[in-house]
Amino acid sequence: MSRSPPLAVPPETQFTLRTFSSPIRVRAAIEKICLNLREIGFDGQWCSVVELVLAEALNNVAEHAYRGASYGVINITVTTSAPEIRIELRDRGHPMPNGQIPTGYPPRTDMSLEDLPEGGFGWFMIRRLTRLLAYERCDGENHLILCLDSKSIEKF
Amino acid sequence: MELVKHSDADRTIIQVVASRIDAAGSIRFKDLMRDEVLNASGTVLVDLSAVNFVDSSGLGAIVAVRKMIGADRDMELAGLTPNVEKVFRLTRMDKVFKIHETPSVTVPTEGL
Repeated sequence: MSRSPPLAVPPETQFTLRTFSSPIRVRAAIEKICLNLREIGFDGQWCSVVELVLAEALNNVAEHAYRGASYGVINITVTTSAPEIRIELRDRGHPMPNGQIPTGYPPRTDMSLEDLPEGGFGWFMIRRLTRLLAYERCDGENHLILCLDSKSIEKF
Repeated sequence: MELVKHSDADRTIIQVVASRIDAAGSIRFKDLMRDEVLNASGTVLVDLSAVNFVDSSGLGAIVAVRKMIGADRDMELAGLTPNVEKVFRLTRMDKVFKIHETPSVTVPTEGL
């Protein structure tokens, strides 16, 4: 029986990226981060979940912290310590209401057409796909921490 | 993003020619779909086989389109790629929309 090659474990790394809050810039930042993760050695499942979680979290910063402004600065730090990825977002926009992360709507399928929500899915999905989600406001800055591990990404 | 529309006997098939329906493109998606949907009759089938990413903005836009079509007509989806299907399943929107398994919808070849 031939020996299979040792499982490649992505190394511990950290990188930081800065983006403006416009949707197009956010899209480009997400693409760059996923590219980096692929290069580091994370597979498709990891990248798919990171792509989605980042899109949701960054869209929330853009829409709510920066209220749709195009030139709000968002700092993104990604730390990999396999099998975990930690993402930290920092922005200088408005604080979260009540200093808390919204729960998001749990999906319900018993609603009539007119009542179907067109939003609120974002935080729900982030919560499902992360092991840890934390927010703090410090010195005029929002700091959001998201941790994904191999168990949390399986939910996707 | 572009939309390609075909009609057959009882339905309108709209192919979404875009790789993403996300925050950067959801407004355009809604605007383009609004034009197509208001001029169509019968069931609207949206072919998403070119789309490999939908986030909550995209999902919200798809729900908005469903509302535009109104309760009197059906809206169905086809060709959901794996990541898109997962988002629908995660949010239980796969129970709200009729989703066809076939990866792409047969469209007439003439005129293409």
